Parts: sequence; C-alpha cells; structure tokens
Amino acid sequence: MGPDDQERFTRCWTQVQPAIAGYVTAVIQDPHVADDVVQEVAVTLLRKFPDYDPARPFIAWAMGVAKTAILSQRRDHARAAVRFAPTTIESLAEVWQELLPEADQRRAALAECLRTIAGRARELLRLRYEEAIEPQDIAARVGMTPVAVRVALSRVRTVLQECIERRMDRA
Amino acid sequence: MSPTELINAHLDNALDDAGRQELEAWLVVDRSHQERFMRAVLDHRALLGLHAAPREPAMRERRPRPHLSVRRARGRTAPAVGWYAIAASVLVVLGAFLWLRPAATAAVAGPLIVAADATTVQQDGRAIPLLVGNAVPAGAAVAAGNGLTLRFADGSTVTLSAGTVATVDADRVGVHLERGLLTAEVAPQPGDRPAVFATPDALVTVVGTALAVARDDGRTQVSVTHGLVSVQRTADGATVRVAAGEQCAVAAQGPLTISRSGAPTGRLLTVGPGQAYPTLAAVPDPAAGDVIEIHAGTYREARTWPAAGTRGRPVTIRAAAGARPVIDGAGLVLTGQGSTPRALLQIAGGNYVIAGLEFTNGRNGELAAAIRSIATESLIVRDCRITACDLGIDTAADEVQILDCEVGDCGDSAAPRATNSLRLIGHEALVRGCWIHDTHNGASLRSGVERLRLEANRISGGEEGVMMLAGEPGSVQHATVIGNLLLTGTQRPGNHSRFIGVEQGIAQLELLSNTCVTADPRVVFLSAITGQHRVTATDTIFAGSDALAGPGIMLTGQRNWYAPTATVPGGLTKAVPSTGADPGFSAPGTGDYRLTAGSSGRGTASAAAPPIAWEPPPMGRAGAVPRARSDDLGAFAASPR
Repeated sequence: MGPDDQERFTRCWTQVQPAIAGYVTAVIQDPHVADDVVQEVAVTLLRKFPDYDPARPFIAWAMGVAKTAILSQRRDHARAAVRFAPTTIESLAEVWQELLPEADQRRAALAECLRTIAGRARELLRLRYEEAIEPQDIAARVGMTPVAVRVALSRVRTVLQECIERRMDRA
Repeated sequence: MSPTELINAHLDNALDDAGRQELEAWLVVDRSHQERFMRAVLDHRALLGLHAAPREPAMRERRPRPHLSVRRARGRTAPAVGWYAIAASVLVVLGAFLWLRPAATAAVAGPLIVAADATTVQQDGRAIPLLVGNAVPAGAAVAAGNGLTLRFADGSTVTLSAGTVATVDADRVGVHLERGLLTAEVAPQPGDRPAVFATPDALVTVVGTALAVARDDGRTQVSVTHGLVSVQRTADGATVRVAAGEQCAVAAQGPLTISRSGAPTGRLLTVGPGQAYPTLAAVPDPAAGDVIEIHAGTYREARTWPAAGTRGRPVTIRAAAGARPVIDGAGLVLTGQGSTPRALLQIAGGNYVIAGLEFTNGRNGELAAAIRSIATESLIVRDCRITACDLGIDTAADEVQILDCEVGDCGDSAAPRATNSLRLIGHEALVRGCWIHDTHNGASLRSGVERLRLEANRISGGEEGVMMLAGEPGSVQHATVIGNLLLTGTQRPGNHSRFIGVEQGIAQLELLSNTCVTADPRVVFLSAITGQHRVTATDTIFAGSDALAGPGIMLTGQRNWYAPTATVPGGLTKAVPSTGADPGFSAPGTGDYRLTAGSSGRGTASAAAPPIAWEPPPMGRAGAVPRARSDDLGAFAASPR
C-alpha cells in the first residue's frame, strides 16, 4: 500500500473510529477486550483496504468488519466477552448506524446538560469518566458503597439523558 | 433489575451472566429498547470524550497508543511475524492519524501573543520560547516569565502576570490557570459557549465581562470589574455568581462567600390570572433562589423544571399566601417520552422546595406521578395534598423531606407493577406528619432509601401493606419508624398478610412508639421475601394479629404490647401483661387510637427512650401534632387523664 493509500485509509479510519469503538463497546462489556477488538478491526481494514470500493460508504464496510470481528471473538474464546446472540449483534449494528447522524447534536446537548450537574454527582462523573475509575474503586475513594455509587451514577445519567432529549426536542 | 439498571450495569462493566441474559431478553422484545440502549451507549461514549478532553491535551493525544505492548502485557500468545508486520504498519498509520485527528483542533490557531517577555511553552519536556505574533499551541503549558498578553480570535484579551503558569484553549476563550494571576477582558460570548477560566480549585464561566483570577498558595480569588461570572468550587461543585464590584475567595471548604454584600437574591415569579405569568408553562426556567408563587386556581398543566437550585438557595414552588392552587392532570398526556413529563411536576434540577399545592389526576396507566424528582440533590415537599395519581411522590433525590402532606387514593389497580403513594430512592428521606391513605395495587410506601425516617404519620396501609423496603441487592437500609399510626384493613386484593415487608436488600429497622393495628388476623406485621433482617421494637403496639414476625425477621425489643395469644420471638418483651385483642383504644371506629383511661399501656413506656415530640395527625387531615407526653405506649399520648 503506497503513501497515498495510507493517507486515504488514515482519513477514512479517523472518521469512523469513534463509531466503531462505540458499537464495539455496546456489545462487549469489558473495555479491554473492546479495545482489542477495535484494534483488530483497524488491522483488518488496513489489510483489506486495497479491496475497498470507494463508492461504498466506509462506515458500512467498517461496521461489517466490526461485526465479523465481534462474532469471531464470540466464537473463538471459551470465556467470551461477547455474550449477545449473533442476531442481537446484527440488530444492534443496524440501530447504531441509524443513530449515528444524531451523535454530534446529542454530544453538544450533553455538553450543555453537564453544566447543570453539580456537587457529588459531578464529582462522581469526574471520577468515572475523567479519571476512568470503576464504580467499586470510586466507592473506596468517596466513602460510599459500590452499590450507592452505581445508583448515583445511574441517576445522574438519567438526568443527563432526559436533559439531552429535551434539548434535542427543542432543536 | 429494571432496564435502566441493566443498561447502567452494562456501561459500568458490572453485569453478570444472569444480568446479561436479562438485558438481551429485554433488547430483543422491541426495537425501541435497542434504540434506548444504544443511545445510552452514545451518551456514555460522549461523556468519556467530553471528560477526557481537558485531561488529554491535543499535544499529548498525538502520541500513538502502545497497542502492541498492551496486548503483550495482558498475556496473549505472541503473534506471528506476519501479524507484527501488519501491526507495525498500522502503528505507522495510526500514528499518522492520531496526529491528523487533533489537526482540526491544532489547525485552529490558539490566541495570538500580542505582548510577551521571556515567555516559554513546555513542549515534549523542553521550554520553547514564544514571541509576539506566535500563536499559543493548544494544550501546552505556558510559563509567562515576565508577563504575557494574549488576544483571542473574537478580540477577548487575557493577560498573564509574571510567573504565571497556565494552559490556553485554542477553540474557545479559555485558560486553565495553574498558578499566578490572569486578568481578562472578555468580549460577549455565545450563551451556550461561555469563556471558561479554570484553576484546580474553581471553574469561572463568563459570558462577557472583565475580571481577574488569581491563584496563589493553593487558593483562588475571583474579582469582577463589570459583568457577571459564575464561580464553581471544583471540590464540591458549590457555585456562586459574582457580579461587578464583587469578589469571591474560593476557600477549600465552607460556604463560598462574596466580599461585598448585595449578592443577587432570587426572583419572585408570580403565576395565575392577572399575575406576571398566567400559567406554569409561561414561567421561565428558574435560577437558584427563585420563588415561583402560584395564586389560587386550577392549573391543567404539567411541566418539567430543569433548572437547579443550590442547597443554600433552592428553587421554591409554593402557593401564594391564603391560596390553595390545584394542579390537575385530567386529560393531560404524561407519557414521559421526549420532553413530555411523566408527572404533574417533574423536577429535573436539584434542590427544590414545593409547598402548599394540591395535585390531582396525575395518571397515565404507567406510573405517572404528582411529583417526580429525577435529580440527585434535595427535595422538600411540604403541606401538599395529592390525590388520584398513579404515584403520589416518586423521587430519586439524595435527600428528601415530605412533611405534613396528604396522599390519598393513589395507585393504579390496573398497572402491571405495584404502585405506591410514595416511592423513594435515595440516600436519606424523612416523612413526617403525613396522612397517607387508600393506596391501590401496592404498599403505601416503597423505599429504597439508605436512611429512612418515618415520624408521626398516619398511614392506612395499601393493598399490599403499609411499607415495603426494597433496597439495591446487597445494600443495607436503615429505617427508623417513630410515633406512627400504621393500619391495614380487611379487604385487600393484593396481599392479605403483608404489613411491613422487606423485598430486597438488607434492612435494619427500628420501631419506636408506633401503633400498628390490623383488621385482618392473617397479617404478619413484619415479613421478608428474602434475606435476614434485624428489627427492634420498643414501646410499640401490635394489635389485630398474633403473627408478629415471619421468617427472616430477627425481632427483638422491649416494653411492647401484643396480644396474649401472639407468637412471640424470644428476644421480644412486653411492657405489662396484656389481655384482650388490643390495649384499649379510645374510638378506633373514628380513627382515634389514643389509649383509653383504663388501658394498661398508659404510663408504661420506656423511661430510657428519648421523648417523642410529635404524634400523627388526627383523622381527616395531614400535619403532625405536638405530643403532650411520651410515657404511653404507641403513637399517641393517652386521652386526657
């Protein structure tokens, strides 16, 4: 693959990588395994890039490769991190692609909604998403039980989700 | 688990096999479930991105991630040579795109340096000089040797004093001040994208003003020349607004104080015919400290209140003096879909007080409520009357107080799930002086609260009893039940034996000076569906059934009253020998459960017990009543002697 192709691939992959990573995360609970699968998708796409038909949307091609990688992971590992049925994996891929067009607007709404979150809830969000700490470890830090942390995170996510929906409706 | 719990557990990598199966079973039922799930994933990813941004400045993001070393570190089989070759080329390419990805950001020129002396920027561990005319690299730490002035694309200027160390945003007016002093003249900013000045202690957001931010000796001080800024303490989120001529020192703890008096107080927003706002819908989103005062009338509307108060300055929604406005949901759509609320008053922001209002007809057949709080802060509901709703009050607020309210005829007999007058989830809740009656298709109160206190309430149990404790699996709930009159009748289609039950979690329940009466001898006063739970009962009357505790309940306590025929756990004692089916109530047919003059329960309560300050409201109204004396058994001081 020549430098031009490498640059083309880089541009294509850069555009779709968040979408692929999001889909893989949805299906694979363990973030480490999900990371591995995303990397595997990148490798496969790169290897097959000379066969890619530019007339076809890159995202569709990449999602197909991602589904295959997930199904392989499910098939090849005894203690598979992927435990959804293939039909569910397929169906979630379709839904995911339908939702992608609203991702930017949703993200912008989320950024605004985050401003309304204060106090302990904000601190929990910071620890969970900025520090990337799992709830059980957050619990030890803030003196709550793991269950209480999970409940609190669940609540604040609900608040954010409802705020996002309101903003999306208004827009 | 509920779908929300399943989705959140999945996002937190905390779903076990059974949970995963439950989630998948729910997902395959309907495509809308899959959309909901994937939207949650979308938001989860966005949260990761939004939070990661300030921690991973663009210049650091450009470094390729060590994918291969991660794989090896996790003990994978060594890949074949061909794999290395492919991976190596991917690394090259990934390295390129990781440079390209922030290029969109890096290409946005940072603010230009318009005056500088001995300024450097840290790049790859080296200090590189910056000169007038240079753009400041986004995300790089700038050391303003002898001072530096920056001009942003919109004309805003920021001056960093000598010795200041800061990181400068490229795509907005924003500076992260590590130490030193900055002064700024900020051009008017879009409302949805204010300028941001951050220190490790505080977040200052500015829509357009002149200000100074100083950080020294671990303390941040904000001074405003003109305009208005919001200062938020990073540690706990405490927020104040600082206006022109004011300054705020961000101490490590305690209330944030503004050095000049006259900080803005809340607005009074009046609602009703002839008032500033004719309807609730017309009221603008309130700010902290605002009071929404509703005048007499019937308001056929439901609304979500998104704005948040603070603990010191909650948002208050109350009746005007002398008025008793009614919020009536008859004919309203309360789906909870999109922006439509699932309650007559849906509180999405934190820290609200609701007082003096009446709510009725909050129904949609799917757990609509009169008041629903989905926020994480505090909620106080006082002196309200709620009737004919699927749920009376449904709250997930951390701290809840429900005081002197009537909640009657709530619940939905046709609902597939239990409905309740009060459904509480959160950290702490106090319910006092309430009259709760005629709950359909569930217990009067369902609680997943970590610390629940019921005090001086009159609760006529619902079709599935008085109270159901249902915490998270594995969590411990502490419930203190003091001075309540708890009743159940005979014709209950739901569950004839339930009175106080534990459905989930581990309960530690303390009963003190309550009057528990049932008209159905099949009732078990304390029962558990799963687990082992500790209950202590003191000075409490159990009348109407001989079954005090079911399996899983370890009941102990002293100086109680129960019938001589009752089945008594070993650790429970009476105050005095009992006779008959009750200790002698004054007029139970009319709701008067005070002890009669001849009752053996008079004057026999524990001397060691703390005085009971309140007794339940009399029949027919809400509002706790001061208790004259507390040496009688049960919830009431005895009739005049």
